[in-house]
Amino acid sequence: MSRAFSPQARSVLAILLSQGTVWSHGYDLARAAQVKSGTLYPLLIRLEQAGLLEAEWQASPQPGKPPRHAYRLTASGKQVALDNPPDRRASMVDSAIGAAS
Amino acid sequence: LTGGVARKIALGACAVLHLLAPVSLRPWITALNREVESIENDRDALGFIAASFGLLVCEIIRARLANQSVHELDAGTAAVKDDRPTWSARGLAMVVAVTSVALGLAYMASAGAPPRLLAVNLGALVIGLAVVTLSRRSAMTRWPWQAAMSLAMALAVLGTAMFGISVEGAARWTQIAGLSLQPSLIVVPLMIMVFVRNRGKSVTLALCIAAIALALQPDRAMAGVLFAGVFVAAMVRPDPPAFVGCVASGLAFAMTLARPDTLPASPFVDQVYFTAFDVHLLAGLAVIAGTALLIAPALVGFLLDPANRAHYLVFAAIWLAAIASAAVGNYPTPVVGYSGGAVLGYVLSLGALPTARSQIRPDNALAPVRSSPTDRGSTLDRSDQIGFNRPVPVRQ
Repeated sequence: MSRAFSPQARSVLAILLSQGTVWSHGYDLARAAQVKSGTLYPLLIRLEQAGLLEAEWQASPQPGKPPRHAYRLTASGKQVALDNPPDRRASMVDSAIGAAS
Repeated sequence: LTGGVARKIALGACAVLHLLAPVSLRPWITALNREVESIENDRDALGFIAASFGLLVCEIIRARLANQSVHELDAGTAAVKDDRPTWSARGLAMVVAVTSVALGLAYMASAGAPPRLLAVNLGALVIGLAVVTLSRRSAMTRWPWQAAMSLAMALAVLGTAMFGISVEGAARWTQIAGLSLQPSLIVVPLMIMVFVRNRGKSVTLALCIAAIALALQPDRAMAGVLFAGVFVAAMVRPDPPAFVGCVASGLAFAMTLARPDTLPASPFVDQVYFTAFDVHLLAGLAVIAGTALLIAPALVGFLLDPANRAHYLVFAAIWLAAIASAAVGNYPTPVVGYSGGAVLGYVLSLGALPTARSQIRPDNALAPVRSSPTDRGSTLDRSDQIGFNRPVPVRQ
């Protein structure tokens, strides 16, 4: 499977990889990876279709709240994430912007 | 926007996406909806959905276009996949309607329109999509119902001419639930689309009643729309009902041209093509793009579905006439201007477009199509359930 991951996709993969077996939710992922939800959901759909991502409905710990969709990488997804780390130049630019602000 | 309104818009946008999405994508839209519900700050919730709305609409288009049709060979037995790529004119038109309304809302918001006007347009879109979706699954798309509904719609237009609200000598409006609605804008496009496939006596009579009503009101724009649609339908398949419809709508249009129309332009409703660029370049471009999109389903359908070209030609004629009337006179700008009626009319008329290739008849391309089991979207619904499940390579 040939891939040319975007910086955003690499960021999302890195966040999911750092979570290990812990499940993540869409809003938290978007904030942690600093990507728009419009970028995140199409990416999650494709990752799930390619068998790189597991998705399941999980009951909310708070009573009365509806279940939420949660995500984590499969074994092959973890390998893909390791093979495609976040873009260093993009990370450096982000860090520089963060430091300047 | 107050917090409550922001939350309602966010959840409304989720509902629209869910309505448009094929079955395979709906769990993802539900997932997005749940995230929106879980975000405590209302404006953050709106920001979250706003950032994803456009791209998810694109994703829905992609999924719809990539779907493979399924033909059930024998009721109750195995379904067989058909490898020919297919598409849905209705599906595309629904996406177009949502995008055009969104562009119109962007224009109106930038022009300083009151939030109530935006909410009315959004509400009209949601109601229209719901009606089209529900009607596809009901028996109301069958011939006897088409005739009865056409007559009922024509009588509604006639009733407006006789008892409706009159402004500057034009009686085009009626008051429903505090809203001033123009019934002809809602029902006339649908009546014409019904006439494309059903030229029975009742439907033809309904067209004549509507023509008389539009002449009485008078409503030059909708009379022009009626004449343009029926004229194109008659050119595609000339027959006695088309001739009668053409004469009636032509006379009505001529009568409206002869009568003075002194109604002034309403802000956010009329003259939008001239004022949008004064607001901002992007607002003007949004209006132009939203208007161009209205014709897109007809263009794509004409190219991809030769067997149903009559529908697409008439659909294009209806909305080109509506756009032209808004461009040259003080008449409502379809869909991208403030007019919940136009939004509803557009969505209802697109509900009369063919589904996938369920009606393709290569031997008699322009013949009227009587109702069939696949004429209510069932083919598309089955393809929703089976298509788009294969692994797709990640392309970023």
